Amino acid sequence: MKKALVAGAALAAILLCAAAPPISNDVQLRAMSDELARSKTLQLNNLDKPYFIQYAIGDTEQVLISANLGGITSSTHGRFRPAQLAVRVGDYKFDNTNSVYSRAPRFGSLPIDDDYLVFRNQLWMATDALYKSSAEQITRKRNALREIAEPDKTPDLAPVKPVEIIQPATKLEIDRKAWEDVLRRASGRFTSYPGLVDSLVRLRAISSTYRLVNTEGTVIRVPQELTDLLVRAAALAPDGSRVWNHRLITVLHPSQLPAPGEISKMVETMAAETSELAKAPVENDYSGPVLFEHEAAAQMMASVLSDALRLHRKPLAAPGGNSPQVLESVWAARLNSKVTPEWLTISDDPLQTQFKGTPLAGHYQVDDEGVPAERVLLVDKGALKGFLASREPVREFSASNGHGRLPGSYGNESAVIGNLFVRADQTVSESQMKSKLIAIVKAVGLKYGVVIRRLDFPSTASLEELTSMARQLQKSGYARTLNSPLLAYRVYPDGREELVRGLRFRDFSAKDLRDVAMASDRPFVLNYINNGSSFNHLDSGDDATSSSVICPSLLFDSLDLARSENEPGKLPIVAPPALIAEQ
Amino acid sequence: MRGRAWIAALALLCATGELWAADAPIAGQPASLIEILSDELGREYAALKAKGEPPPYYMAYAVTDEQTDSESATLGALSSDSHNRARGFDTTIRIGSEKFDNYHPYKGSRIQFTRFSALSLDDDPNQIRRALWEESDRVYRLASRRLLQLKTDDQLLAEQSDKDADFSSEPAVQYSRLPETYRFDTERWADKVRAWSAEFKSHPKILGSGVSVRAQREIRGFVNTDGSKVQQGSNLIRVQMEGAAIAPDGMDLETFASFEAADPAHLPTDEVVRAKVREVANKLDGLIAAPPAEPIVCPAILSGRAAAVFFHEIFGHRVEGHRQKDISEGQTFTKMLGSKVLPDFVSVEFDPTLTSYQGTDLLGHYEYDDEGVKARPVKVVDAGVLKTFLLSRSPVGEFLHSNGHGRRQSGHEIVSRQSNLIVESSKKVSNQELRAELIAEIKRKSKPYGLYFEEVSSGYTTTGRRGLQAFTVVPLVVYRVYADGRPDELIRGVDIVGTPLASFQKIMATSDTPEVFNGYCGAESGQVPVSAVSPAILVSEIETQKKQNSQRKPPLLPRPESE
Repeated sequence: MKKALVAGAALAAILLCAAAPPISNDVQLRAMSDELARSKTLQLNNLDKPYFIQYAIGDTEQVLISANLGGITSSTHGRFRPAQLAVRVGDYKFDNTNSVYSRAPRFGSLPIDDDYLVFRNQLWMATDALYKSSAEQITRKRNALREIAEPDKTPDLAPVKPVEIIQPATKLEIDRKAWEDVLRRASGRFTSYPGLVDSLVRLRAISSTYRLVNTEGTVIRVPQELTDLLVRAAALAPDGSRVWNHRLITVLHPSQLPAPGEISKMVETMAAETSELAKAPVENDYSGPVLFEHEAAAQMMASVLSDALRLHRKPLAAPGGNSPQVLESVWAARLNSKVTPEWLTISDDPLQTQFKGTPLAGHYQVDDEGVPAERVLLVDKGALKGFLASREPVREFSASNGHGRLPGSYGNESAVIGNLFVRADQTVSESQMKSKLIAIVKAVGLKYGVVIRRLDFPSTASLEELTSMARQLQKSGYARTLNSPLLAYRVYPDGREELVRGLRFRDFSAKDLRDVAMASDRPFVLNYINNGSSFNHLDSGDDATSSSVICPSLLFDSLDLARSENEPGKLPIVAPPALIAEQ
Repeated sequence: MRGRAWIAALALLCATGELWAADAPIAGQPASLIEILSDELGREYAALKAKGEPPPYYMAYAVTDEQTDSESATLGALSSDSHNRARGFDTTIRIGSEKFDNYHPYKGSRIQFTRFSALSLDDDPNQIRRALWEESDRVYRLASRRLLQLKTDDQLLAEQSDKDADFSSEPAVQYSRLPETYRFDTERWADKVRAWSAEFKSHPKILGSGVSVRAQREIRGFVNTDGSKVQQGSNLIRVQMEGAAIAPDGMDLETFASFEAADPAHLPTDEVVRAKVREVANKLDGLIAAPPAEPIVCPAILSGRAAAVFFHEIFGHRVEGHRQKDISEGQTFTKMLGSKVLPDFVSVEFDPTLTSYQGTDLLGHYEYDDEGVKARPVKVVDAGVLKTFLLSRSPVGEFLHSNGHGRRQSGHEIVSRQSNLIVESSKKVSNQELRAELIAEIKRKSKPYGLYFEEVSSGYTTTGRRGLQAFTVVPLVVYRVYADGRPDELIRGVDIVGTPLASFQKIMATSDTPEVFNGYCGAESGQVPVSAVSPAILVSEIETQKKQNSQRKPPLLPRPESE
């Protein structure tokens, strides 16, 4: 409701601003535009001139509150204005980016006071430093190019039509003290579960007004909001190994979060699940039908598709030099080929604000490069039709479709999922999905099948767990795998379910989507934080954006899962201190 | 309860406006925190002694609760506004015996057992007990593995690594005194730093500049299995200003100044701060126009503040006890006990019990060190002769007990660190006479000029607990002093060659006016607040060279001036 209102107001603002000069009363935009105009004249001796300059500033406010067992462990409020600057020399066809010498340095925060001259002053110095390093990069790139027999002729930057989108600036609206109380109470519910360790309830609310100007004439002022609530706990199994579980709620605005009572209930449920998990038997290697239910299906799609739907470009490097390994999308060579069953269609549409009443966190109007969001048909009746794209041209894909939303490598922005819709033309009910799983189990003669209800996505794995996962992956020689299941159950032929622990996927990628056997008729909406790190680890990276995946439950005839090769730890020597249960 | 001193300070403040007012104590009662720590420590220790193989013989928890408020501005605009409170703890577990335990140094290497783990700000016993329990288990496992490894490794060494014991026994202590609480007036301080930083506006050649204020209240709670319980803390407010520029030949230049006080009433007036900002800006303009330094060996005067930094970096770090045990260290002074290391008219004392020196608050003050050992003055050099080292509970040679210098930043292991370094001289002359002696020395040695080091920088002069830069001293503001009556000439890019320790043995005389330098010192156990007090010193010889030049080109376009 609130969201719809914001969208309406935004539209009105665009219309209003179309008439009046949009930026004259916005000190930041004015300083950015004026300094940008002057920076076009930069030239050092006979070196290349800039052909493209872009300034982007996120006027950001953040509240972060953490609570543990009824006590607040941290509560902070911060204001900062991180700046992302680009100065490209050369031209669209060949510039200083996309080589191993291309680095995009980060700049500190700009002043939090709206001071026109100081803003220009900071931009002036940053642009100067960046121009000098870009001029050096293109020289090194040219030198390397001379040693390459058949260089890649792909252009370096996709041209776009300039746009002017001015929406009202946002402010973080959150009652910090009230939320501290909510988190205290919610985290206090864990005191009834003395077997759990490391429990945490954490709220992060970010509100940012994103401003962008570039020398093509694009001027942007749009809100970028993000709020997430994490509930996490771990437990020690009798064999000393550590199991963990989490719930993540991602929304755009704090007002969209569940009510305090529901959050406390969520903690109870999660805590009970985690306690059960510690007692559950360890699953051994498994090969057979796997049903991804609800959230797990959307998590699986989010994990494999963020990788498959984005093309990677190999940076130019002198032969014999240290050329970095680029892990290409598994779908890179499959355009117009079958990548899923023909009854599946996948598209991305950031312009949708909600799905059947559920707000979509992956909604935006314009991406971080100032390119208006476009609906993209990615898989049409099983055939691959396109990729998500930023302004980084990759092979024959030379146009942006408005999906550049995270800093990429070698001077580019990286393409990210907005609202990804996975639609099935043939569906069955949820209960029929389980019946089908059991039917396969019986037909193959297995003792049981596996249903997965939650994956560790975005991951909250501990460092130890991540290291162990990486080791197992390396040992088995697989390039890719899927985030581990948090909640996986054996399903016996009589329909009985049994929670198991210690499972990991073997090699798993979007290639496996060809083997989807069946989809349910109930799409699940997964809103999540996306930072582009491996396993989308929640605490990785400096940048994050939000995405949505709308997907029904999915059944696979046969998948391989392996027992996790964790060194079981030892149980603590000292018994845990007694907890005073909170009322 | 408000202390009397605090009310007096308040009265003073009321005249100028209340920027830092006494407030109700922050949520929670620290006394109960100590009880929770002490209870859990007792429980853990008893259980680990009974069930641990091998059992621990000593344990300690140290809680650090830090409230920080800071405002920074550049050219009149606020650049950051931050308010944080964090509470966490460190865990120490010693296994084996005082003679040989898991902290035993092996081939110069030590390992870190502790890590800073968050604690509830609410004094919530559930969270606190659980956190202590989980962390104790982790540290105990690490410590027991290390001890077994050390025992094996030590057998394989030709000569056993270190004959000194690993830990000293010290009396149990009980102490509780907390600093006053404060309320930081964000708006007022923001306005002040805006106004001060705007002074740089009239210096277009200065590329980067800033003024910041940082107020910090730190409370430390400590319990150990000897039965010690210590609660103490400190308030600190720091105003800092800095400028950076590039000389026409591409040399990076910077100037810096700061004021520190344990009580804001002890800070200088706004006008004095403003004048200091102007001075920092003017000095930097002077440096931009100044000629670059040439290599020379000549006599020099180090100002009191410069000498204080030199003593801290060059001398102070070398008398830290743990360095004498570590074969990877230079061990400059290890075998020089009882020998002359400085001229006989110079003595050096470390005195953490001093709260201020001639009206300036000292950052290196504390009542008990981070191992719960009572602070005391330690005369390290008496009339030029090395008498002892700075000691934590790690014994060094004949020194079997701590002298209260075991310190750390939370999240690090404790080693011996400096406190308030005080240089005393019995050969004092006035500043004028010292200058006359310099000129005489220049003439005697037939040198073209001597040098006057007014300001120097080191790891220690930067506030932000940034990186480890100890042992380096970078001259910032240096003048050529001519013997023929020409005025002093500012030069830039002076670099000191070799170990300046040699210069210390060439001290000819000192001035009679000590100056104070306050700052943070970075080393193995993190950043700790320290002070150094020294008179200006005249050295017969110092060797300098020209600093490496970054060759950075100044900006191509002129500074944006107006709309």
